[in-house]
Amino acid sequence: MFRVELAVRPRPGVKDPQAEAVQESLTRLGHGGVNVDAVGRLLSLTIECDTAEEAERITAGLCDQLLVNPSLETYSVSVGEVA
Amino acid sequence: MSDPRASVIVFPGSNGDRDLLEALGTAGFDPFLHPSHRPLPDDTALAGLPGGFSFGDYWRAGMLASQEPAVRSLAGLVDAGGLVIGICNGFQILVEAGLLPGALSYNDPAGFRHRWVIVRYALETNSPWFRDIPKGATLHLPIAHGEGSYFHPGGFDAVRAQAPLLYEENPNGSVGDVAALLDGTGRVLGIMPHPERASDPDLGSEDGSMLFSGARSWVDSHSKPLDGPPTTVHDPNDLRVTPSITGGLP
Amino acid sequence: MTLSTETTTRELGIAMGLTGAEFDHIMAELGREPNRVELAIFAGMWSEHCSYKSTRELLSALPTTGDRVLAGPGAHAGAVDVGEGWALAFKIESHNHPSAVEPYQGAATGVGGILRDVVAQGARPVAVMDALCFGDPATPRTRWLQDGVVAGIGGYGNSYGVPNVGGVTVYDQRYEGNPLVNALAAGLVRHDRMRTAAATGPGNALLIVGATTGRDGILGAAFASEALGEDHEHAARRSHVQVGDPFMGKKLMEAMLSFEDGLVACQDLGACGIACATSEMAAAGGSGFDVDLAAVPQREAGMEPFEILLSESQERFMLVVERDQVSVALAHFRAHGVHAALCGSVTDSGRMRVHHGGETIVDLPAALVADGTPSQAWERGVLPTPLAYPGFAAPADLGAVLLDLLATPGIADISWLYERYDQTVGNRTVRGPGQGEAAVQRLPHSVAGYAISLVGDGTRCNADPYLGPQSLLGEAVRNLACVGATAVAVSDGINAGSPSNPAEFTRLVETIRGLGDGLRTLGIPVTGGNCSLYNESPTGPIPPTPIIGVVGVIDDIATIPSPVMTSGEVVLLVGTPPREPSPSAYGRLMTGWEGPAPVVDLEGDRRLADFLVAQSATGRIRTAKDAGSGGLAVALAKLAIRSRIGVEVGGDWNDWALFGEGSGMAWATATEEEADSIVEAGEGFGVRIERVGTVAGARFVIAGVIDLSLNELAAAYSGGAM
Repeated sequence: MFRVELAVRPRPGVKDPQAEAVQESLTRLGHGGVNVDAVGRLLSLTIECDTAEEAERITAGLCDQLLVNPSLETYSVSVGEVA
Repeated sequence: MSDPRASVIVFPGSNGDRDLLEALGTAGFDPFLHPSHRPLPDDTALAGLPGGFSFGDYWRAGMLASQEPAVRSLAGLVDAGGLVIGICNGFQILVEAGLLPGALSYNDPAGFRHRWVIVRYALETNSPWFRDIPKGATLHLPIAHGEGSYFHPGGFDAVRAQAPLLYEENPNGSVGDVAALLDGTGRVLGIMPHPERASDPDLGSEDGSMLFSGARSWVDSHSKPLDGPPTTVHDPNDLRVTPSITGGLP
Repeated sequence: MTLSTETTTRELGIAMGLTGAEFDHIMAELGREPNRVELAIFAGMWSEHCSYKSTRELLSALPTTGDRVLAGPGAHAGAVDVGEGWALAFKIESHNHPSAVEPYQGAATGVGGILRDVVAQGARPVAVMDALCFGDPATPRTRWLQDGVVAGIGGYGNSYGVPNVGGVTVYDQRYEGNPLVNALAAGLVRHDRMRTAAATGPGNALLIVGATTGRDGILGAAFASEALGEDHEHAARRSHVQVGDPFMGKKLMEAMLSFEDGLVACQDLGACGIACATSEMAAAGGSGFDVDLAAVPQREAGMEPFEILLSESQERFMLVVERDQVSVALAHFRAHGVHAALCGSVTDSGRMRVHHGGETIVDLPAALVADGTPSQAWERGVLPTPLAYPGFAAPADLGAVLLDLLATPGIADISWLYERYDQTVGNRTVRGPGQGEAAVQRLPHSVAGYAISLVGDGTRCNADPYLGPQSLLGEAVRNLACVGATAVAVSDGINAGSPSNPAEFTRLVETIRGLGDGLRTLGIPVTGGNCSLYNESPTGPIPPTPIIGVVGVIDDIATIPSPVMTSGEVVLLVGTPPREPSPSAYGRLMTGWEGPAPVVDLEGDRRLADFLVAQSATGRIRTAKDAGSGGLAVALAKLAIRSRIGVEVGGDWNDWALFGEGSGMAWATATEEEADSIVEAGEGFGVRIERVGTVAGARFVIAGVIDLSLNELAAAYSGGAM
């Protein structure tokens, strides 16, 4: 069994209102040197399968089918085995 | 003698500020809109945090707004005997700012929901906000939120003595059907339904106006009268001007 | 076609979507070849979407004048006098194609766009309504589309702080591949505070305010970039789906409405972005612009000039401001948390000149770009005669038919949908979704109000595109009368298929002609609207689908009928039930056929409306509900469900009288003391009205044909929803 952490974020260049708003607030608090690059979502999955590659493949399939809109978003996956 | 001043804090993204302004004015306060990037003026008798989507409700509802100077100055107002009401997004901000315990999270079932609900006044309290409401009374108020599910790690027992209003039919998964919460002084009220939108029978209900009238009469009996002319005059027919001047973009 | 470096400008223009005749017209007017940025501007501005070249002449035949019209077609949003010095600015817009691709953002940016039109008029938005047409509600695709669209409409409007007060949802297989998302927005403004788009005063400054400009929804970007020697795929990939930002939209609205000193003109940025706004504002004012593109605040590095010019990034306006107010204006907008930049000036040249990097990259007559599109003529065809229903016997159990109809998508309860929308923010909503036949709001600090009915349908219009829109107009006028409102103005959203198909073009022509004749019969003007063509998918075109928003006025909201009946009231039948087959939900349920042309009697609808409004003003009408989809039986059943009380009605009823659809029918209730005088008053209005029953108990009884418990009705109504 594998634990998959799927991070979905706005595609570079796509307008990211959340990042802009968080940036605005941080700047108002005086954190001028901090740049908010993106605000996204995290999905944590456990998948019954035998290899990390298979878990990645299944996750990629889910992303293509439903979880990620490629015109707006990109994603990255990290996989770890769980007992 | 002039009416006590009521400051409606306008955050970038607030959208219930005018509604609250009107309800407070009807109740006999001298209400004015106050931008969130400045601390409250000293002569404020009551501060209202309106509904809306402060800072777009991005990241977590109320989180970004809770850091604003006006919110940081609320503790001083409460210490000085002032009143605070946070409605919907305002309730979220009060919780994020630590002025009320617990947290407000995503509705269960999930999603934004607007609905007229019935809440029951279920507490024995001498809170100024509930002077005009008989114990056991039910109020007909609208809800309009997506993150209104009240949660406390200690469960309902931890806040039972502070929860004046309970939903008759729980619309959002709040623990113990909690619809509103008071702080230890009874002067700070966070409420998820909108009493300011239920202050006129032509618009569906006037049950909400009892909260404001209670607060108004309490102020008369508990604070020293304020002298001087009203400082802010709003033309009710002027829909253009909202002094929601924010801190500005960097 | 494959483009190479040898491609001629003419070939390129045609590849971008211009016709050969249009290109030749440009050549003749300019006296030279347009450069490739200019060509991209023409391709965008002369598209159907921006130029209305196929519908302009048809729409010009609609009546647009009336005592209450303060701004008509051509303004940002139409505006109508609703009393006490207030104007209601309102307009319908479609966002069909974007919503089919990305339902959440497509719908959200559709709402954002129509709100900006209202704000450009100087009005504070007070209401949104939505008209949605989907395919089979049972398919996963429809669910995905519907969930996304509803979440997008709610996500934008709720945050922005404008209540959604109602609308219409239609289900029909023919929308499966091409859903319709139309939204109406309305706002209030004092008569003397309305704003113009006409740029005047050479030397005045051009400002761009709001969000930054990115590579969003750039029309024709791929072709334009190819023209500029870029890789096609790369450029296509670089254009992003537009993302709505209601937080920015709200800040921008507040900043716009509170800025007045030195404001000469303003326009929101929508399709074709800066290119559209500058050319249209100059054309409207008989002026020109010098624009410096480098001054436009940009979200991304390295944007090409055509990308900045044609970007459809959301939440932006262009303003013309008196020169000595520029620094005040910039400070004002920045203080509201929105970007603002000086990016050009008004000239008296009549030309739209764009500069970038020290070069003049565009130099075109503004009027040619904005208004110079030659009208496009299309071939007409012959429409099939609507098919009558095949004969069928009335079912023995008409109560079961009523339950089936109540559960039919399009009739069934959609309160789950409207709960996703804030209906009461702004403290103005007197009747929201499900609380009346039309939305009702109150004027500021007044007993007077206004009502809006939004109706739309493709089935009736497909059966007869001339009578269909008239049937809809009648429905809207009746809806308004049931909340005591007199109809005063219309905004129309026409949705149709491809005009290159002769039958579809004919349907479009007939739809607009029918609408115009209907409006003239009723004496109501159109103040603006929207026309969306090319709504089709591989399975075929959508039925012609006019979405009609009608505004009415109310003298005193305290006297209008209640949403709910109470025990002991007398049930009054207004109008005459049909006895013959008519196109109806009942006919479709029984046969699966669309049915014959609708039965329309607009004079009858007007008499009914005049009667109901006059009686409502006296406070004597306790409730009123007109017969719409599902006929009189469904109307009364819905009223009973909403009121949580039964009725017992007598009379002589057959299936078509119960479920047939047409003009001039409604239910009303009144107290026993008032009922007879209301019946008598009907004669003076030429309206047939009779006492037929009473409100009481917990059963829904129509003598001899239907006897059901309220629980059965309510279960069918709510259980039939998705």
